[in-house]
Amino acid sequence: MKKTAFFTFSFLLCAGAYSQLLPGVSSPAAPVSTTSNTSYSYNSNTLENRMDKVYDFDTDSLNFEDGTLNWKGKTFNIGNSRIVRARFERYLATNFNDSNFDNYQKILNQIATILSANNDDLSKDSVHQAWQLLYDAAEYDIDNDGCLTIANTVYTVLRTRDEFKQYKISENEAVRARKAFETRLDYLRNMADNAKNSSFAGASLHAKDRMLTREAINKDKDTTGAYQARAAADLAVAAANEAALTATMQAMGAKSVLQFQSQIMSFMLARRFQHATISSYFYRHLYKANNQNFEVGKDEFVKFFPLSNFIPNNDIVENLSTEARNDVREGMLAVETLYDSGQRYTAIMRLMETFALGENEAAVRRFDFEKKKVLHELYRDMSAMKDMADNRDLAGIVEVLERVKNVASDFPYRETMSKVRVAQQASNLKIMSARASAFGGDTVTAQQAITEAAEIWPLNPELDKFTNEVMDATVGKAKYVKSFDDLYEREDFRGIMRDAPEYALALKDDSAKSQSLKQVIANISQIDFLIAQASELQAQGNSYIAWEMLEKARTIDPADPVVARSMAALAPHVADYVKLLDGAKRAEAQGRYAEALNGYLRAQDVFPTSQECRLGIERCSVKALQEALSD
Amino acid sequence: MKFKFNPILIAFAIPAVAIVFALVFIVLKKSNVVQNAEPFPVAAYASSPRSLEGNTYMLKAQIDSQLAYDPQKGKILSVRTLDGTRLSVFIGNVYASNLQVGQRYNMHLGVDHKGLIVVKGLEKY
Repeated sequence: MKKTAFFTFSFLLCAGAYSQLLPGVSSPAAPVSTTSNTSYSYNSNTLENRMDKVYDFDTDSLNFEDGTLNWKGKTFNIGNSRIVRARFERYLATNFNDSNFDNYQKILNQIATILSANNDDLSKDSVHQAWQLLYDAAEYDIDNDGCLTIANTVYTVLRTRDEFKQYKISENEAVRARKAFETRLDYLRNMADNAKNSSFAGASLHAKDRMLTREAINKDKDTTGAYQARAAADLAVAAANEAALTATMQAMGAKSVLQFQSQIMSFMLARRFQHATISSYFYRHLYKANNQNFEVGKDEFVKFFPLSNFIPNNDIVENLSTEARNDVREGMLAVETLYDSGQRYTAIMRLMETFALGENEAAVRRFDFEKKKVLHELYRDMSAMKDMADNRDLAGIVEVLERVKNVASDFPYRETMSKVRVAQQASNLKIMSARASAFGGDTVTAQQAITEAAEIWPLNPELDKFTNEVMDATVGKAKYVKSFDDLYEREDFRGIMRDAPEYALALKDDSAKSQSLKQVIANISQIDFLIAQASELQAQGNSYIAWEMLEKARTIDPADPVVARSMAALAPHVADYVKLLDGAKRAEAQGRYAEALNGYLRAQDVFPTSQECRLGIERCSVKALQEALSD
Repeated sequence: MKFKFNPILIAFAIPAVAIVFALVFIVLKKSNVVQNAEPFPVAAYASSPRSLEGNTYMLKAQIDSQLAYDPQKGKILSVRTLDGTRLSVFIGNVYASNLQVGQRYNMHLGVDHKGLIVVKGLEKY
């Protein structure tokens, strides 16, 4: 049962849901930080060197209680067991081989080549070419519109860039306008200062001139002040426009970055690692270096990498995806090898684990359909076995085990079978105990034993049999009594013998009939013994002795059909003796004792040791003598 | 002394002579009957004993065994004929003295109304 329990749990080790994003990923992100405050460098090489390449089955695990897949310390949300089982079964039942995997992969590889990290100076045309290829890849069903999503995201970025340019022009104009207003304001301020200085200089003039000059100065002061105030207001408006444009541009850039990062994280957390990788390629070339750090999913990254001061960036996402894809590929290689070597139980375990990690990966989806059909049958059998184990249908488990044994040589057949057999035996022993108690009149113990037997194996066929026996012993008692009377009256003792145990139970309270039953049983047993003896003697060539045995049997029950058949079969071998003996018996029966006596004598000559003849001679000689004396 | 013929003697003598003659006749007659009787038809008796009822026969046989005995009247014997067949015969006490197994006799037989073979005379041979 341990294995079964293990497998029960392992059913839950199936693949996950598409968009099971961890909480917080889709929520608005924190403001964009354009500067990095970390001193760590997590480039591709350091990450790959740190992680092993093999799926570690000892530490990697799936927990379906909280619906998570733990892979190399990273936790994915894959949904509850029912959904996972349904998805895995759908995967096994679906033939994806119609899709042109190779062409699809060629397109993706082409995109990867164009956007490869070593192309630092990638032209706009190259990015544009890669972007267009995304639409080609999206034509394939296997892509599941992943590339279309990437393409749309890239398109949004490109469009945002154009808008950004327009905003940049407007911003420049706003800057120029602001600067013009600043210049004018400076000019007016200078003019006002000059006018102030001129009023002190006019002290040497005549009074009239001074008055005119003062008036002119006062007039200029008023005019200049008004201009200054207007220029200051214009400057404020221009500065506000510039600030608004700048803020809009920053918001636009931040929104674009967050959208792209969210998309990448969505792909990765949905375990669509190839799409996550391609998205990362695009991201690297679309954004500046200071935007490579991820603001989206920081909390989730902390779960992936429980390190202090860890700053997630695009390289880490890309490498994480690449590593996962490698593990999926190696997992499928293991599945193929195990399958081909006949270890299909282990193969389906590995397939479930690999499916859980990379159900959307081409390596998983292109697995041969014929092999999947075999594994699907095995999966169904094991699923049925799990249900049967839950319901304790031990006979059903045995039946399925026989099938599974032929398909999967590595299945723990003997261990499972031995445990099933032990349980079956335990249940049968309980029923035997219940039967003994019931027939002994101890119904309480019988009830307890039968309850325990049913708990061990509810579908034990012996339970029905026991129930029928109890029914026969109680409800059917009258029926058996009547049946016994009928058979006894017809002298069908063989019929009574066939159901002797039931009659014994039914008649146990009727001493007279019980005695009759015992006599019937004794007679039939004796007849059967004699017939068996006769058969053995005939086989040894002692046909006359055999006949005598049958004669004895016939005296016990002259109507017994088995004796009659046996005698009919033997008669040809002892015809001379039988003819004489029968004649003698017939004469004796008719009171012709002298004739009978001579018949017995002649028969005795044929079979000298015949007891029948000896006794017949003794009887008939006396009778014949008496007759002679009476004359 | 004067011989005086007594006629009473003659009266006794005549029956005595007659008896002697009769006895001689009987013995002679009997001897002829045994010698002249037909052989017992064993097969016919086996198939239908009553068809021989009332007949008399001669049978050479050897005493095989005694099957039943009544001290007052006689015994039932099993005798074996020359061809080996065993037959049961009744022998009255008149003839049944000193009979032993293995003795051979010429038997004068009769078949009674119940098919029983009754020995009416026998002599060793």
